[in-house]
Amino acid sequence: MLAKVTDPDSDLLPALRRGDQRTFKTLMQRRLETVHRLAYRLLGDEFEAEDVAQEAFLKLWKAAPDWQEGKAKLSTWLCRVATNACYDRLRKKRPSLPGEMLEPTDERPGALSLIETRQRWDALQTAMMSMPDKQRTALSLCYDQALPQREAALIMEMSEKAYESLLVRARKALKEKVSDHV
Amino acid sequence: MSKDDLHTLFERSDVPAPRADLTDRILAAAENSAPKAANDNPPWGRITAAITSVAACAMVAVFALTPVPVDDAAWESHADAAGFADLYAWVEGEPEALE
Repeated sequence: MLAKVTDPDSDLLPALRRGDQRTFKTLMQRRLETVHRLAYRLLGDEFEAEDVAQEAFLKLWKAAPDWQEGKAKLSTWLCRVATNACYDRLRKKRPSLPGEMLEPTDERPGALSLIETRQRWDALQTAMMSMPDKQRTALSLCYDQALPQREAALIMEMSEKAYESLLVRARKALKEKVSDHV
Repeated sequence: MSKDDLHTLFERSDVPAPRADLTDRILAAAENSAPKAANDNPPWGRITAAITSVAACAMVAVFALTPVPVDDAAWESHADAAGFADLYAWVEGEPEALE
């Protein structure tokens, strides 16, 4: 049986269930940057990361009335939804046929081209973007979010052991990449 | 490079902050999609599913219980009654010799 989870955001739950927008805003003040940072690490684009963060918070807003306290932390759930949304976007961007290397361009006003986006990456982000998605997620959850392994494994929907070995591989790969790029 | 070096690397890494109006944009979007309580949903889906399954069971029962002719003569008179006498004769009759 799973232990009951103590959520640091549980004080917001009763009002969130009632659909209170001020409480929703408070939750965003606490967690928006965390979710955005995770999405940015995965997508490498701050504006797409904003879209993902918006998607995750709106999903939570809709799910709030049915939220079962003690099953998961709000922040863990948000990170999991954001991670899956990022994976979906990354899958759609990848060429589906060999030789089809063009990524779809974002036509919205103000959207940056792929080259402009890449120019904004620092050495760490450049190194991260050349790594597999799951390794990027594991590193961000560990170093950006400083999450305990159990929580990070929950977000990535894998066992703690699998997360641990993924993190070891990711660290090794990142060290090599960073020494290549720096 | 140690684990501590990685910590430092991530701390120093420049991650752009979300734009200031993101919270307001999310709130505006939330306003247009008010949350629904679990018991707010009308049970039309469940009612339709129940009616469909009862109807399907009734149809199966009708087909299973309808008496079907058991021999050729009964089939022929059944075909006559249904207006398919010619078709029955063509299907069941002697094959014509091929020229």
